[in-house]
Amino acid sequence: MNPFAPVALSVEGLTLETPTVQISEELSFTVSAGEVWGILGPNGIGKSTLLKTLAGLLPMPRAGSVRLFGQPIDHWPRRLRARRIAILLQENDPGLPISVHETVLLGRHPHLGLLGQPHFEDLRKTLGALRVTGLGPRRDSPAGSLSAGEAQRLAIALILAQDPDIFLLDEPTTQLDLRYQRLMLEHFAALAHRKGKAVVMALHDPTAAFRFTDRVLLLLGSGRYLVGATPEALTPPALASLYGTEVVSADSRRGRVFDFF
Amino acid sequence: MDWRKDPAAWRQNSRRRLSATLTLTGVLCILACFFGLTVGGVPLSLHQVSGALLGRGAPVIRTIIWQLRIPRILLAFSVGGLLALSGTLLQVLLRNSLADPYVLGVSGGAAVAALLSLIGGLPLYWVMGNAFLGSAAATFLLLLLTRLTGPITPTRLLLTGIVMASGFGAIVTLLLALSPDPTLHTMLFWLMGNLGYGPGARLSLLALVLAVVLLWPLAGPLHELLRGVDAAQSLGVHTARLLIGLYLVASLVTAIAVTDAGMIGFVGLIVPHMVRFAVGADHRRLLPLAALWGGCLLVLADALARSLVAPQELPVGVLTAFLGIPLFLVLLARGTRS
Repeated sequence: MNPFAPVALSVEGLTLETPTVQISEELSFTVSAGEVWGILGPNGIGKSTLLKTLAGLLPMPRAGSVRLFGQPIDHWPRRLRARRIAILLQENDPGLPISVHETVLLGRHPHLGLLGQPHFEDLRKTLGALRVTGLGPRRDSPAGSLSAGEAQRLAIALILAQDPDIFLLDEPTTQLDLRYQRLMLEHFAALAHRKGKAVVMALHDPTAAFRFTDRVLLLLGSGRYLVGATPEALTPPALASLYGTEVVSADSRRGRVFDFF
Repeated sequence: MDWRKDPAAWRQNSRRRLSATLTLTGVLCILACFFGLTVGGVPLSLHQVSGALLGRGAPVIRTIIWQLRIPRILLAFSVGGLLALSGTLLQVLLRNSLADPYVLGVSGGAAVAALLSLIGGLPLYWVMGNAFLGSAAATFLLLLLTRLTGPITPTRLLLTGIVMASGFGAIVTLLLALSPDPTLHTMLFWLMGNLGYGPGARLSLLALVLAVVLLWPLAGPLHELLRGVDAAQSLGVHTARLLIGLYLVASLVTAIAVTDAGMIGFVGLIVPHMVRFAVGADHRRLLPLAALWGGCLLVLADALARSLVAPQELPVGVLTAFLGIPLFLVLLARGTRS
């Protein structure tokens, strides 16, 4: 996209493996501000582990580096890092009684001062995140009483309130109905294209990936991967080899639609 | 103005709620203390109590107030506060709203260690130190056993804790059966939760104040832990350090409460829920308020324990159990439904 946009996140020579899966070998790519990236791959290929590594939640592997605005991710002071990068995790169980509003306010914690007192700005952003995710009317409900889709929107509201420069999203559309899938993806795409945020999301729906991402990373298994601009990389043959099932596509004015065959 | 839409109005509402709760807390503390001062083996009137507090009235009454009841109330207050704090911390540490040092066997571990030291005739600071080791070991064992038998889920954690608590109960019974007779009655009463045998309130009061003051700056990170370790870490919390610190403080606080007053159950369960209900889950408010309310609750429960069948005394642990068990069941029912 914009060749002058600053590099937000750069991955160099990252070799990542769990005891059972080789996730990536010598993986390198750079995410610039204003870009939306999609990570696609079959179940259990390591998308979540990769995202957590990018967020600095897991110990860095021996080979390779992840840099956040030029600095190695594990050298950042934790609080400052949390202002720059946020991750939407797959598991979000409230555990203890806490209201919807209080949960979203947690996203502001990295920005609060020593006394932890939320300021006007923090409350404004919290309310904004509640509005975007359509949770305004549920703000006083206990987080534990929400439906699965509402809980997912709550988790999204939290990272929206966190207001980082880079959003890492692990399957942001899980449990969402059709309308909110669209609204949420459109919102993140707009954050990238209009506000210069960087978005990296693991997705399962190639149609959504085609429509909302600029570039994709395909995790092919046993460490192999493919990086490319979305229109060139997301083709039926590529997806067929990615998922091991036949895929058909139809191009329309608004994008490309995929289905299994 | 609608505080649901406007940040300024929201903040005003939240402050109003906080100041109302603080006022209520103050009134509650004063009432609890006066109630505790008037009831007991010798019922006193409010007039007599206030006279004695101001240094007037019969010397006997002054002695009762100053030498017996005030130390007792201070002890009850600090033990209640420590237990409520311990419950608050354990609930965050284990991310389980049913966590309580008594239910999970943390108090049990402390009691076994303290009892062994008492039977061995060790001095008080040894009893306390060993109680700390006991409660720390119990918490560690709880996490270890839960992990070894499968994934750590709230229900499994709770089950393991309850099994461990009954295990410690069995050890206590065994120790009592084997220990020489004369001290048995005292020990039994102490174990059932009783404020009459403690070594005095000074240490526990100091511990309570210190714990609240030291924990308060950690309230923000504690709060962030509510959504899990990974989520807290991505919000910028050094989770490993925090969890270990939390674990040590919770064990220590429980141990001090147990050496002072034996095993008093459910204060750590009831109080955090009451406070959350009143002011929400923000730990900057929750921690100090839980300490205060826990103190008040135990002062009231102790006063009832002293007065219900006066001149006999009930173990205060019995009363808190009567309060706590129904609430535990309600919470359990609510938890399984959602």
